[in-house]
Amino acid sequence: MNAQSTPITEPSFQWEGYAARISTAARPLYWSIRRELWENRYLYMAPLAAGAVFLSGVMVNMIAMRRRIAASSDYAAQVQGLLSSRYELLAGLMMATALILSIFYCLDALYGERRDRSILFWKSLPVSDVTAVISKLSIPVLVLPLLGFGITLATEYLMLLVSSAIFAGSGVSITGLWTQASVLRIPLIWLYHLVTVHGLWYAPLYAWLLLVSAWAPRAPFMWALLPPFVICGVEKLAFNTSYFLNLLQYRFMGSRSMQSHDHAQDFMASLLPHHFFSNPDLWTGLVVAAVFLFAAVRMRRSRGPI
Amino acid sequence: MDREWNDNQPIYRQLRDRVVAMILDGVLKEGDPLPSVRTVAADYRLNPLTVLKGYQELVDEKLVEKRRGLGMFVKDGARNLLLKGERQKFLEEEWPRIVAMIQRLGLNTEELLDGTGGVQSKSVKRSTTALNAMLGLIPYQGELRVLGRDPWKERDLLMRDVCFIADVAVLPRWIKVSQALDFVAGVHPRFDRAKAEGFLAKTSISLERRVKHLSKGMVAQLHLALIMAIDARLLVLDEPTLGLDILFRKQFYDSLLNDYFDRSRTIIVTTHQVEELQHILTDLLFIERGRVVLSCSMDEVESRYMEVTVNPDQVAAARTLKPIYERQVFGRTILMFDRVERGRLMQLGEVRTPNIADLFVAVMENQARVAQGAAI
Repeated sequence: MNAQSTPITEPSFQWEGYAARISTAARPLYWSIRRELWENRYLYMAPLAAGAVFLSGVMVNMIAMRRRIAASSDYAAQVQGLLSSRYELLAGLMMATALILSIFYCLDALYGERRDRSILFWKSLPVSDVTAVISKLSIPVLVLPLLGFGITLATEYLMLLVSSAIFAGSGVSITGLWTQASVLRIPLIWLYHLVTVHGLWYAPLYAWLLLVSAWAPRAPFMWALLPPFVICGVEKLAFNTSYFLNLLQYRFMGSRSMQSHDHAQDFMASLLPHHFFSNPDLWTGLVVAAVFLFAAVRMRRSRGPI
Repeated sequence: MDREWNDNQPIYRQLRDRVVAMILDGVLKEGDPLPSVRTVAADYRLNPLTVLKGYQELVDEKLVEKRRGLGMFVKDGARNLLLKGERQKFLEEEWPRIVAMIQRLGLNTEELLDGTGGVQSKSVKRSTTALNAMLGLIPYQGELRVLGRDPWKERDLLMRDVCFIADVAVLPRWIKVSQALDFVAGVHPRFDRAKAEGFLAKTSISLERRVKHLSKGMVAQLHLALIMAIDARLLVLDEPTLGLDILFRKQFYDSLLNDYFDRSRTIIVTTHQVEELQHILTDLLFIERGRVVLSCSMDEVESRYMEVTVNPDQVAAARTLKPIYERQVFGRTILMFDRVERGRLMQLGEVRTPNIADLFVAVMENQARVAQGAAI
């Protein structure tokens, strides 16, 4: 490199030097993530659409019930209870949407660019394969949970405003509405859940899908499902055990005891920071994710267009 | 001769046509014997009477003469006679049909002359392999340094100094022109956005369009605008004009030379349309199956290689000077020589510098012959 081109790599121990260096490392990552959102508009369109559909459904329902709310205060209390359960439904819907989007996004992320040959263009720019793969991983791990959180929060506020307007129009007190809204009580806990479970706990899943999409000669969906099926099948036939299946179940749903009994309390407790981060399974999962990602980076480097 | 016969014409007619073609191509020269009836019949599994009938046609046309006890020989003057007759026949019988077909299909001259797509893509792959290794797109054995960097391990750093257009069709179809500018500006420290916008302003590409809505020529222009706004030391273009129409190809190289090229930059171009590059090249390198078969400067090419349209009466004399390649164009013999004194060639006919395409064919065919000799 010649002299004019080195302000970035020049050793400089001043604060600006560090800042500049961090920004040169982060800039490609930042633009790569933006690029993913440009390319995959469904990543925000789908949650927005889900929120809008949910909101309009609830609104139609509320407007229909307007008269009866005004007529009876008991009924108004019932509606308040109904609304608070609606918030949980919305949060669940958003999480499911984000999970499905993540799976389809990861499967196509490194496969699509090979199929349409645009990988040749991306590789002609000074963005390393590591940056490219990390930017793609950050979509399911970071961007989608945050987007889902933001959209859910916004939808819940809108629902609150609409229902308040309807209640106020019917002359019913709205304080109950605002005290029961889960969005106001536990948004931070919920955000924490998204980051830990959807980000960290599911990371091996996303990393596996990315690896498959970097490698698959065609039909990444099939290649992603085939190995788990084969392993489960062989294990069952050869040893008549199902450790691998249990392992997958545990990864997806949490442990069996949590599902079989009414252990919501246990489940929440297991998410408490000191439980969650001291769980060796979390760290094993992250190590596995790191291995998959490393392989995906290597794979992206050597794979050309198909 | 080809062993396949078609069913539209009697075989003796086809045999006659093939002998005529061989005489026209110079494979059979005047005074040469024709292969005996028996051999042809055995080789092509034909009835000897069929072969004889075909030969008789040639005798009747006064192209071939029978010498009792010796066989059939191509008559002196057969070639000229043939050329006259065949040209007439072609112009009267075949050409009108072909013209009608060309008009029906709406082909232009350009498409007619490049009608060898299949062959091209086959060899595109070879030159691309070397380039891809240089660009860090595929692994390689041994050591390779581009501008002091290992392309396989440091592709991202290398790409600050190197630009490439791998193919005209690799810009992602979903991207908007403005997004492409944003992205390259975001990740490339040496991208000059204003310059790229300047190039685009000269075209009819609007910033809000998506690549999938642009024509092929516009996509190439966009890609070129992006690349030319990068202050890179090495620019690699792999078949940059494949599939573009001739107007745009010319414009492409003009803007490349006028707006981009200066003495401190290197441009590597691979192309099959060498003739459009000939006047801008400084060095020439021919590679055959990974081996360099010719490497010299363009000045050297001009002083070394000469092509002579030989006067008909001097063909034999010219052949003694060991031409590296011989071809026939409209009945005239054109010979190519390597390192033969210009003065001597001037006496034989019209001398000029061969164009690169012909030189390429000559060098590659010689190479193939040498390789075959080695194999035997």
